[in-house]
Amino acid sequence: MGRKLTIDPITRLEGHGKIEIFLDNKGNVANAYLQVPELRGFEKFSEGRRSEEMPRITPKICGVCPTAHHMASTKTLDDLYKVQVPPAAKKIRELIYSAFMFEDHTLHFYFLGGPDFVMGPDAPPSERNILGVIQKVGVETGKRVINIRKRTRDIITLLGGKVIHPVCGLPGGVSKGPTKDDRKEIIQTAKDAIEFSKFSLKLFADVVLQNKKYVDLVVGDIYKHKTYYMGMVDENNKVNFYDGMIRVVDPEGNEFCKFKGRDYLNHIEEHVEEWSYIKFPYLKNVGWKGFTDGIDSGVFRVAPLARLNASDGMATPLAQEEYEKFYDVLGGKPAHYTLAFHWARLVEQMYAAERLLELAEDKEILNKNIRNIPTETPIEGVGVVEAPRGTLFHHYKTDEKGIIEKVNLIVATVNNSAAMSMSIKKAAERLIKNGKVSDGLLNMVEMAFRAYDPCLACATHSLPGQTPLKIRIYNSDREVIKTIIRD
Amino acid sequence: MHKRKQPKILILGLGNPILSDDSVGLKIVDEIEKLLCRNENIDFCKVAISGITILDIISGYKHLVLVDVIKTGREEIGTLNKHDISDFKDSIHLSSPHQLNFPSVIEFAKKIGIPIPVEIDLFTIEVEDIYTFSEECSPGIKREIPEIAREIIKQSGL
Repeated sequence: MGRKLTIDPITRLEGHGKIEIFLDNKGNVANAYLQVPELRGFEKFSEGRRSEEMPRITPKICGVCPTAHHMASTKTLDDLYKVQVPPAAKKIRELIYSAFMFEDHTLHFYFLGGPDFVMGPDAPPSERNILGVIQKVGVETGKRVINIRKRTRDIITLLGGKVIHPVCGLPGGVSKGPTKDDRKEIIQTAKDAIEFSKFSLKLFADVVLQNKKYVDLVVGDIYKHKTYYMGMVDENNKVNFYDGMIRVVDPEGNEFCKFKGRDYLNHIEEHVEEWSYIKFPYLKNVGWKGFTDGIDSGVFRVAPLARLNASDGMATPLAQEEYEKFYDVLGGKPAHYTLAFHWARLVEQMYAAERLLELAEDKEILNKNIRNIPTETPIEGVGVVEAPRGTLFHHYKTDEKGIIEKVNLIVATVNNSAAMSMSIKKAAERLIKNGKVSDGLLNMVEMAFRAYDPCLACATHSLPGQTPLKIRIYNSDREVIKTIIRD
Repeated sequence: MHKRKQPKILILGLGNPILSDDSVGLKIVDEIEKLLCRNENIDFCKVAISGITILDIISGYKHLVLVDVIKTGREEIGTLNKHDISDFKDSIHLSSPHQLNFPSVIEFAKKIGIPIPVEIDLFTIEVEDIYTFSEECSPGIKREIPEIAREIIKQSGL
């Protein structure tokens, strides 16, 4: 019998998400899995509710990206009630969404994923955080991050109607639009957001791209998987967060399929493992071949790197420049390097800022026609957006009065679940040989899954608010023979 | 127009209102609000947030009373504990995929000069089920909410 090694976060949540690594008889890695807690009964909770409640309920599933759920749910209601959204309302929604994507990507880079690079992967954990970043790049940068984050968040609050959880989305439109004064302020914020994105990309170029050691780490084999990639694109196959077709490219970068959100079940299936509550989506028309990459495996990836790979470029000029630079440095498309998610996130941060400005400068957002009242009988609706962490699907079935009968959600992190397990396994394989566990295991495994920015939703207000890791190594009799704790 | 002066005290409940016992902190803050009604010196807030977002809420107050749930599996369900930030001092680092821990948030705010409460009382309540979608909490805890609310008022000197 093999041995089992567990990396177990200690949080307020007993049994909360953990990483399990199974060793074979020789003490080498046989399998590695990311476990997340099961949230029970959302379908039952939703059944019997009015469908109009869903855009207010679903953001509460996840405290990390409520705006993404709100928009996906609102778009599902458009589809459910077969109602066209007036152009002004569509632009207002996308404006809010661009502000959200900018803010979320900024938060991830400066507070969560970025410190791995800015401080360096070898820096002590106590320094690999925002406090360390400030120490290195200065207090003024910290103030700048907080300022721009707050101002983009203020846009969501202003137009979303409520702090944190927006309530503006209605089937067929939005509940309110900006005033002329609001618009002026949004334009200024968007311009500052673009400047901030330039600063972020320069910081990344100076700190990471000028450092051969970091570049080698990014393009090294340890964090590389040749998978399919999925992302939403506009009519020109450019990245779009709010609306468009879902495009999938194969590991060689060729278009594999392109479909409307409504047809997602023709393209995506979910594999189930007995050891995990989380499901593993894969491409139905390739098939599930296990936790493996390559053109014959249906495993696909979503989120920033996947969106860039699945598109033909960015729809705004500065983001397009960065997109081209990204692939020049990484050796062409598609880029299979998991750590490149961080860089791709910054390219998208720029796109979000530029798109925010484009929409704010569009006078149509002042148009008072911001809602079409639904008149059709509802039956079934699907809504899709690109959440910061990847493609997010909402699917509702109702009775003729719009009362929910069935709900299916495929949340962004779940789309990456198979790939995350593969990335963790690959990092672990490198650091566990013949039963010997290298000290760097925690760092390398953490970096593998942090690149995906996984969302373990129910930990969003954990009081300690962080996830120390604990490794337990079991012998073949499942006795703990070694424990490593980071606290 | 008369602008309302910001009160000095914030009572902040953290939790998800649709995830069973995860809502207990919110329900307790509701109860505290009933008991301390019409006190112009106190604001009440209930949200499901973490990390740096907390700064948006707590900045500018002198005294923060924070109520959250905890599930350690080591305490009796319904147990109220009062913590000091220093209880979490050893964990000032980032290792979560999503949150900056609370002490780090406070440390960060101090470094860049964001005004934060000088007095912070952290309360946790041990709970049972935080994984099932429901607006109701476990009956055993529900019964305890009024008593827990009174105890928090007492222990934070409100």
